[in-house]
Amino acid sequence: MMRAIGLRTRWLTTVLALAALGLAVAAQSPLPTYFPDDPITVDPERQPATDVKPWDISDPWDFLENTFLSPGDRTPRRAVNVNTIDEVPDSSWFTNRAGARRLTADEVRRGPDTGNGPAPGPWTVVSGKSDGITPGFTIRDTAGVTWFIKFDPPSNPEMATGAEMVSTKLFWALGYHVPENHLAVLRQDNLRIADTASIRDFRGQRRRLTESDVRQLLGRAVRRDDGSYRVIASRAVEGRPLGPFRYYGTRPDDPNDIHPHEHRRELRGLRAFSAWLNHDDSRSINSLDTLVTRDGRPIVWHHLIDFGSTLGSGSLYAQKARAGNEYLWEGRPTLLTALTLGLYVRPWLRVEYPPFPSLGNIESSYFQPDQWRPEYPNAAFSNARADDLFWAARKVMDISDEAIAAAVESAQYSDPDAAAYLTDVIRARRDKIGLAWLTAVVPAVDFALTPAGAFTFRNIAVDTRRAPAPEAYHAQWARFDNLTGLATPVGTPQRGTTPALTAPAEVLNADFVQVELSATAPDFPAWATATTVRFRRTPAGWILVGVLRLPDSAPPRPFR
Amino acid sequence: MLLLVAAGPAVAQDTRAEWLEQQRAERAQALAAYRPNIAERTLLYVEDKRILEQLSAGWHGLYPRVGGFTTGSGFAMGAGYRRAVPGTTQMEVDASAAFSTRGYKGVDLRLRAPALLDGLLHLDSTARWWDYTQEDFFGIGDSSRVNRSSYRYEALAFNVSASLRPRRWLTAGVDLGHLRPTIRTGTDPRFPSIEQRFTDGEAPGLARQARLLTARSFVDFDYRDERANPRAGGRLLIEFGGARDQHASREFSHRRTDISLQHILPIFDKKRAFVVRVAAAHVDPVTAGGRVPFFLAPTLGGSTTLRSYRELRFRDASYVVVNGEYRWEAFSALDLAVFWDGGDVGTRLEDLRLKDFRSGWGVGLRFNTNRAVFLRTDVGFGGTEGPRLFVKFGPAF
Repeated sequence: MMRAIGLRTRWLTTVLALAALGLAVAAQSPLPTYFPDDPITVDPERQPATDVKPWDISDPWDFLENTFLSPGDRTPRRAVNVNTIDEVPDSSWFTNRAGARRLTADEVRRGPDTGNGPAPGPWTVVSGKSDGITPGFTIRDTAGVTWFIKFDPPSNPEMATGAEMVSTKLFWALGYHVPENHLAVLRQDNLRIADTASIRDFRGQRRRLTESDVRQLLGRAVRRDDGSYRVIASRAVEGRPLGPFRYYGTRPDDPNDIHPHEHRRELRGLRAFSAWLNHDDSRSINSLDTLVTRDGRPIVWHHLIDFGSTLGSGSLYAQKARAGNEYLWEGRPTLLTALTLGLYVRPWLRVEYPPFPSLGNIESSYFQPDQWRPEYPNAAFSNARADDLFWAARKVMDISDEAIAAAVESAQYSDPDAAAYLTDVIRARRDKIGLAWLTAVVPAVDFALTPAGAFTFRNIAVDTRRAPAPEAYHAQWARFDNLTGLATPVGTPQRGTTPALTAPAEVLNADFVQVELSATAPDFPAWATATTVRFRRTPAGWILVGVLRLPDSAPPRPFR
Repeated sequence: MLLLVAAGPAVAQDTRAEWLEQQRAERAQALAAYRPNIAERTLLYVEDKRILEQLSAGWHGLYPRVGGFTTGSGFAMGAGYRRAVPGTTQMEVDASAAFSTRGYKGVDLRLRAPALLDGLLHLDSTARWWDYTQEDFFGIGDSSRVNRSSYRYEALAFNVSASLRPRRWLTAGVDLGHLRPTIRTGTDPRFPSIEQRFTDGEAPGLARQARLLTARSFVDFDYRDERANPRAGGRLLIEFGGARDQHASREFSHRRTDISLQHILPIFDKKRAFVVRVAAAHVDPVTAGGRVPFFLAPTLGGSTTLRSYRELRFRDASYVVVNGEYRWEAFSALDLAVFWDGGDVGTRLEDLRLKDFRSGWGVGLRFNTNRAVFLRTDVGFGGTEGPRLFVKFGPAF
């Protein structure tokens, strides 16, 4: 009896051990390539950011670190926050707009606006800003809403305010969270100074703001003939300010910030958007995190702010020719220029800009997307690969001529020739973005597979007239095992001259179908690298679950 | 083993959302406050506490005073106290004192209103005492450097000034003052003192200490784009003034006229600039037989005039200097320059001749921001007295 009990115990122990081993293996086995809810369209950020604290980033350190130390992970890899079809889910960073739907001109003209600017009535000045890049005020309107007031420099009426308006609309259209900016008219007799209003004096110490301070601040702005001032009224963004975000790493006190910023698609893609709109000041100082409430939880929300140094504006002056063409520090041109007594002339110095003071220095002829760069490097822009830039270029190309015109109209330039020129420039730069980066990978989009095996897609580079049709498309079909991630080729490579191919019948009985699609186009050698497309069988038919435009370890797209 | 499995982090997820949620839940267990590294902490501290502003504007009114003496004084350091006049927002009082490694000393007391009438009017009043212990004197005119001597220049000066700036490019003003100079034995051990090498006839003012009432008026047409780092535009500065000797003889009463004309021709988005500056000055005794104290005579040589010669190298009743400079931007924080300087001194304006010009050339570095040159080094060659190095905190002109 004792022996039987002993045997039974040993047997039970063995069974439990095996079961535990099985559980362990099951629990530690690789995840499936595709979950049932793939591709997700919203990144679920549900952890309450209760312990997040405001921080500040040293602007000089940001420059030094990014220029000389190359912070962040530079390992070549696919963006980590894209869903399985290579798109960016909506999140605290980004809301899909352009590309997700066709934006109307009216939508772009309205942008992030929820109202019409400061409420009618007196503006109460609560503080003045005499230092920093641009002088300005903070005011409270009669509705109690706080607005930041910014001016144009005397040398360039309408320039900084115009750039702020146009870029706000377009960055909103592209999907970023931006402040609500309005053009407004400031009249000195409409200003009231709050009893508690303060300003830093010429010794850097805070003191009470006086009417003389207001007059002096206004003296640095453009006064119109009727005595009024054209200003930007920028509404304080929602939530408690937490400071800027970095272009690398994560915010260590934010539980939802699991993706290193240098590997976030929307920050890598910002390189393309910044190139388009010459947002050379795309750096941490011009970003802002705030703590907002979503679904009853505190969540960190990420914004791009301050577009005064975009397009042809340098905020206080017409944008310098270097902006967008060279980092603040680059060794080679510096040495070349120094050693040749300046006889070596950087090519961008020869660029001529049309004489529109309201636009500053912006053009489209010399502009080359791959050559464009911000004030100094950042890890996200440096990590941007062809698939990131393709994603961005699609969005840029999706902004219509009418939408661009609407954005420019929102700036209310008094010179119609200037407005027309800027509209043309933005369109031309958009088209160059398309040419450079829509063609950087196989530009196939909108994949579909019918139950009968008809496989169709669009060549967006061809559709947008950025490239001629390729000589041929090539497809290799395979069954795809979602658990192992392995593909088993079926049949021989197919060839077609139109974006319509037929899957072999024997592949259509799999749960997952894979097709590797490439193209032959002599002008676009990148199209020889296959894009991998995967479909999942569902009762309703095949649905697209996977798009991989480049190998995971493909290198970044270099700055030329 | 069972326990290990139960404690293991990997739990199967059924959806992508759950998978992401689990990563965030795990991260929520390991949150930390951001801690910048020491370099960033230091910079943040400097920015947050406005250390640079405090250094220039003062900590509770206290600020360090660096320099402020003539070239050749050695490293000068001191302290100052500055604050707004109680009950006002536009007036400040400023007191400072400094001492240099070569024994130069100075005390300044200043009351000023820099931006009255919305910046139109600038009022200033100063009381200054200084003791420059080893100033150079080579003689009057085209003197030889073997005559180098030193003198001690101690003085007490009171000045009041007012200037109007009706336009950004136009400033005009007047300055009235009282100067009590004392010339004494120089302390530079390398060279004889002035009285050992020169007589009062050769160095007017050596024997009798003058007491002078001074006056100066000026008009400044300054249409440069930035005053401290100009890359375009130009400037015409005309000054007329003089001094009245309070001694009955009026021996040292004199008139003085200065004119300086500068133009900057930029090319390539102001990344290259050709600069030409012509400056001249002339002093005249007011009375027959009068003289101009040697220490108030126009001088030529040094970091802002003739860079292949040392400071105060030449002096006489008149001087003219021509500077040509080509600057080119190596990168946004550094300009390089090559320059040529030429000039002459003479007793009369008509004595100034191109063929008599002392000249030299040189190269320089200008570390700058958009608005200001904050460090300049110039090396002058081609003079007859060897290369000269100047390190300055500001533009040459």
